[in-house]
Amino acid sequence: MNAMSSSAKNPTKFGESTIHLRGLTKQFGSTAVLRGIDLEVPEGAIYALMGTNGAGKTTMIKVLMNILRASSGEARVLGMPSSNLTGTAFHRIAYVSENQELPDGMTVGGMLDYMRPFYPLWDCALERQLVEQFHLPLGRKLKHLSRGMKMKAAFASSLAYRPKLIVLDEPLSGLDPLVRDELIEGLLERAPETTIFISSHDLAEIESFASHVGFLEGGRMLFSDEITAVSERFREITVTLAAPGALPERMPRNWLLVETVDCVVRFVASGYREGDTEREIAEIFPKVRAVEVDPMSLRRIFLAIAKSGRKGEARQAAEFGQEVQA
Amino acid sequence: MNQIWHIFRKDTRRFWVEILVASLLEFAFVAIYPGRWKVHYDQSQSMRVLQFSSFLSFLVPIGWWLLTVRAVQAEALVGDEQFWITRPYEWKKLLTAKILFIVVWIGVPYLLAQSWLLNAAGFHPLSYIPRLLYGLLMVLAVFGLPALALGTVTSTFVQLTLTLLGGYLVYLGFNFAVTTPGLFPATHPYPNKVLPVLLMAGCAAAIWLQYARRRTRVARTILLVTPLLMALSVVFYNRSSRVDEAYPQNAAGAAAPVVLSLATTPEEPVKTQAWDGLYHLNVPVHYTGVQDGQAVSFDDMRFTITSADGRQWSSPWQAVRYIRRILPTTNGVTLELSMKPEVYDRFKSGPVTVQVTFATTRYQADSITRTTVPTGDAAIPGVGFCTPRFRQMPNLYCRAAIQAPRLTYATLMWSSDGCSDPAHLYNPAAQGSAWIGGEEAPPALSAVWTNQYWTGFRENDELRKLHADWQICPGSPLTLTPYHWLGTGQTGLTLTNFTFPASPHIG
Repeated sequence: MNAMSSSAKNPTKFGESTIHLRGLTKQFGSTAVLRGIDLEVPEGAIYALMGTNGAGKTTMIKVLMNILRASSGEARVLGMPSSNLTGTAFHRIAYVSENQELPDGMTVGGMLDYMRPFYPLWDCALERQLVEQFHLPLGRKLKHLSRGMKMKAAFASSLAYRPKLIVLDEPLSGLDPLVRDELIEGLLERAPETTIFISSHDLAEIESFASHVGFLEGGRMLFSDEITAVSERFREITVTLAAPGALPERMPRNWLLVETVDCVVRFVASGYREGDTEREIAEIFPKVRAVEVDPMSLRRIFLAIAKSGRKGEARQAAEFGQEVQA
Repeated sequence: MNQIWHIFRKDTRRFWVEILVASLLEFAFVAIYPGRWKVHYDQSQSMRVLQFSSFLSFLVPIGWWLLTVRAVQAEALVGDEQFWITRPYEWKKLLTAKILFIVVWIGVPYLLAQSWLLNAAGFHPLSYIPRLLYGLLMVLAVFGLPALALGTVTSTFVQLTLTLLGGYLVYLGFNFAVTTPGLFPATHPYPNKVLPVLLMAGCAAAIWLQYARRRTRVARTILLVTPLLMALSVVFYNRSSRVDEAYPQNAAGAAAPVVLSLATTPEEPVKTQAWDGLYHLNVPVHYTGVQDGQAVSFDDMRFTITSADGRQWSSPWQAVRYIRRILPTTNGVTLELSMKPEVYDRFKSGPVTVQVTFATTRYQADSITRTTVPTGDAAIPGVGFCTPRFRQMPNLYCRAAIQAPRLTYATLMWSSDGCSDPAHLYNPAAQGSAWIGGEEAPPALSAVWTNQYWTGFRENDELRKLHADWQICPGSPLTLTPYHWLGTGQTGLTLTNFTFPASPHIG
């Protein structure tokens, strides 16, 4: 797992956009679920789409897969308008969703047999390998399988034709750690030859293999970047003051979740730059005894953004972070 | 083609039970159906079997619906979580695979079953292939297309069944609202040609939208609007309009095909009977003017009552009772005018003018065939196969391939001595008759058409009353006169200074 994680993180050269979104909006009646999304997912990337429940992740993926139609804006997948994705276009695209209805009346082997002729590039050797790797019971009907097994069967039927793009909507949620590891392992073995776009709440896992991350909140993309850049930009900062004091009214835009207890002020810097941030602290708090700067895991970044989103400060902070990065 | 075949094979494997059930129902139906005619000459046939065949005729379409809907919903078009919508399915191939499934597993068993049935009825199936294929087309249009369309906008069979039940209740309500109570159903169907066009167009549009675009909401709207449009067409292009269209008024100066006149006598006055919530005026009429070698059929009628003070009421077109077809040799029958009691009461106080208009069809006789009444089930030229019944309301039970035989006037001699003495076998005074064939039957589950024809003294009540013990015998001369269609038109009868009987006889 570690070896795979590092191999997935290592590639830093990415090709043309596999997924390209410009001003994408989706409305259900008067409710806007996606509000002007811009996004580029380069070829070869493992892109993790994060967001709270109801942020619009599944809707965005369904628009990408032409399951839903965009209300406005542009969505291109593998160079093709997503609204044209149909029939043979899916020879190169795999889509697995936690809510997908599989042909329950079929056995696992029956489903694989049935799917095989649909794909000219179906790799029977790879299929056998995946069946072994996932310990799939070929003779059992899908409706009699556990959720984890069903997901493995869906993965096997989606990876065996070596797709150029794998789109996964919450594939790991609700699965036990062993199944998750098996699925991620199977997925990452395909990573060198494909682009993976995954939405997930399993942040710790994603952090271990994703190359890019995007955060969707309230139908807006708060940020989208390489995961290393995001990790460098976010820091948890603890400032110890010489004496307790009130927080100033105006705080820097990129400070999130600012809180104070006695002499200690804690916040999350979404546009951290070594030296600059310390100077900024010194300007706001003249009598500082100590400043502690801690790197943050993706999970903690996600939580910080999600919490600040509820306070209404996430968007401006993220925008500021993007500006700093630029 | 590979994808079509691949999906077809998958559906066949998956729905083999449904295929088996639908096919078994179909073959059980055609195995039992011959009992309908065999019961007339084979004592071992049970009437209970016939009841079962009626039950099966109800189940067979349900089997077809189940099969169609299950196959369509295997790749459900409603919802956005189905695995197949992000797989390389091509919609045209998917739709073709479903149509192939319906044709192979509904159409082919249908053709085989119908061929078997024709053979069992004594007809050679290969002689009827075009008509069998037309029948198949009708089955697919009437059952297949709506089932396919509803299958595309519902995700489960239960959902579809509830939709159908709801639709049926709406249909019953609509039918109740537009039907005039007590009027007799049309003897001729006067098909509303707009209805099948609307039905097929609506279904085809919904199917295309779902397969090509998966626009469930729009497709459902279309399937809701289609019956509304059909209802509007029934209201605005109603039966009266269709009768007017099918039976043009005679050109000025053209001879009427038949001349009618009032024929009341002290012995046979105008009577009124009350039943079924309506008052029925029974008016004896006399007619002349039917040309030699022709017959006139009274298909529909309407009438207008006008009082001396100018009040007027008109009936819609309605079926003609008692009079059906007349020949030059026939002369008098009873005309029945039905109306609501309140209409009757409005006009009964004084003399009125009643203008009756008949929608008529003229037929021309062709060459006569003379044969004899067979002993048992036997072929009768131009008709098909018939089984005579000699005692107790003698009749001919006939069957034909696919549709009713052409309109034929059959006459036969009765015997006054119970068929025992050949010398008295044929009594020229006792001639029974029946009109055989000419019916326009709707598409049916069976390729064998059957009907029963009473061969009594239908046009001579006096003889019937006097000689109730007379009967037809094997070997009685049977004369068959086939007729062909000449044309349609309207014929009128005006009753002036006509007075309604004051009080109806409740019967």
